[in-house]
Amino acid sequence: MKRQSKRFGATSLALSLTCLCTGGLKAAEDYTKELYTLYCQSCHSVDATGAPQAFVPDDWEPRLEKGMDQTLENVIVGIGNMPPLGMCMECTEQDLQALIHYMSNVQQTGNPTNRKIGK
Amino acid sequence: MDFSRINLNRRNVLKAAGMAVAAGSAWAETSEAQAQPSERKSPPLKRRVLPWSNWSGNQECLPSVRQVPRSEEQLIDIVKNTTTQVRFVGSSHSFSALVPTEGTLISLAALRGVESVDPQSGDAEIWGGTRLAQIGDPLWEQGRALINMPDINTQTLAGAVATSTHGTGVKLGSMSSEVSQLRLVTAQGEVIECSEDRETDIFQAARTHLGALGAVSKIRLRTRPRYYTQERSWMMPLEEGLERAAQLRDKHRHFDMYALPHGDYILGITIDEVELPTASKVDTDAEEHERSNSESAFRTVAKITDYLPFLRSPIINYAASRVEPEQRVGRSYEVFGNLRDMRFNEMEYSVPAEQGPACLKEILETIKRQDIDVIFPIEYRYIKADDIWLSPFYQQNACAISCHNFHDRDYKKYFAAVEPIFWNYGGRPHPGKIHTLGAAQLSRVYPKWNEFLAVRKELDPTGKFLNPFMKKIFGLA
Repeated sequence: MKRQSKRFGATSLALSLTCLCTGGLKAAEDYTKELYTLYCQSCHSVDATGAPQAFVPDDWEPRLEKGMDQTLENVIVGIGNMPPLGMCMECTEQDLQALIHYMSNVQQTGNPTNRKIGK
Repeated sequence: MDFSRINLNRRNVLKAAGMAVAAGSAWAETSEAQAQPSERKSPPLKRRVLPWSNWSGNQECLPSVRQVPRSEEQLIDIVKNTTTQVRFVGSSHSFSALVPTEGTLISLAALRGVESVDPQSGDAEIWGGTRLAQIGDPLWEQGRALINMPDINTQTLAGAVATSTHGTGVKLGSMSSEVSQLRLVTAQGEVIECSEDRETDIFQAARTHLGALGAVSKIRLRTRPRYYTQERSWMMPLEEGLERAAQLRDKHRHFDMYALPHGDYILGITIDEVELPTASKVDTDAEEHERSNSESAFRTVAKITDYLPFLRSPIINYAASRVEPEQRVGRSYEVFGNLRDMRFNEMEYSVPAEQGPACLKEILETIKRQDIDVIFPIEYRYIKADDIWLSPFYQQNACAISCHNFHDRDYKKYFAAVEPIFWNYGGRPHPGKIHTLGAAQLSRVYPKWNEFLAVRKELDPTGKFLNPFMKKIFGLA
């Protein structure tokens, strides 16, 4: 009985931790999506801007070939018409990296579409 | 500055320049494309704290700490307990050195959203870190809209209010003038709620305070019932535009112009309220195409005239003469605001409204006479007088004239040539844009300068919020 209880407790703990981790990951993903909508979407969803388009991996490949460090560097200091940090004043380096990963991959179901902000 | 409003067609630019120049342009574009990667050659940065640079890149700093409070309580704690210099950053759209600090840089970006709309007064409670582009939709859903807006909508509300950001309209004031109440977190961590009836001196100072009084966490803003607007734009001869400016200003809810340096044309833009039973949305895809085309056209002109400067006027005039009248209709905030644009640096002064045409004319003549290398359009707008101490529109109906150049081109010679013209017309500089005035000159053109300094000293006696630029303009260096 005691052993069963211990096993139950361990299982519960594992489940709780999994939920916590999954919940944490989900929250991080949601925050990345929110940042994308707020700061990136306006240019990275409009081809005419010349910016690499979100969820079009081919657009990102030449950039990422230079390495994540260089891509991050360009985001931080700005390049061409892209302003420093993409105007995201709340973004950390980790946030920017997550945004690059998010935009440079194929759009997942449930992600925000390329609709324009404020329209 | 919105390029989509000047639909200078790149094809016309190239046609005017001729085949030989078109070839030169192609070369120039190639060299531009090759030049951009060189920007990537900056040395690797230490990334513990991200460096800061403003939108155009003419201001930068490496703060020792960056803070992004997630609640007003956190903001209070941070401001109260920080012993180093503190500066606040909105969306980094100021061109003057308001933000740079080696101390603590605080962004209110996470304090965002339209919290509520008072059903009686229609006033909206909005968090300071909310970008203007985020305000239109939630207000519209509640049947409300902002009374006026600037043409760029990426600024945060707190930043826009701190710098008297404005749109155009002879009967319409700046964003600051629509504030009915605000919450200010002071250097000691005290929260002051001020309005026209409460803490009135602080209210008059805080509605344009350059971030010198503290952090404005929340703002109550006047709104009006939601409305649709129609924008019309047309190119006209420069002399006609200058002559008709006052008439068009008084006839329309909003009127502004874009003058073309080295050209003999000026673009007029009017915006008026319209009835629109069925919502007809602004065609954003077409707008993007036009903007891209116009930006490309201006860039092409700039490249061509680097090598063949004598072609500047003919190309500009030929292309401008072929700009067709345009119009668009939509929700007010969709017509006013634009999220994307080409990066530039800017100087803006406000002169007495009646002096606007003469001042603009003198600037354009100076650019031609001194053969200043600029083709970037000059923006011309009207703003109603207010009673805010550091507002460029303090007790003065004003005309704001904004001079720009591309962010990667030198602006100093241009701005040095036009700034004395503004002074001769009694101009007041926009606090968030480039100017060279110090404390003595500023106190002469801003009648309530000393009253503002007294409030600042009372609220921040140790100068926690003063960076070197602010010490200079406040005479405390």
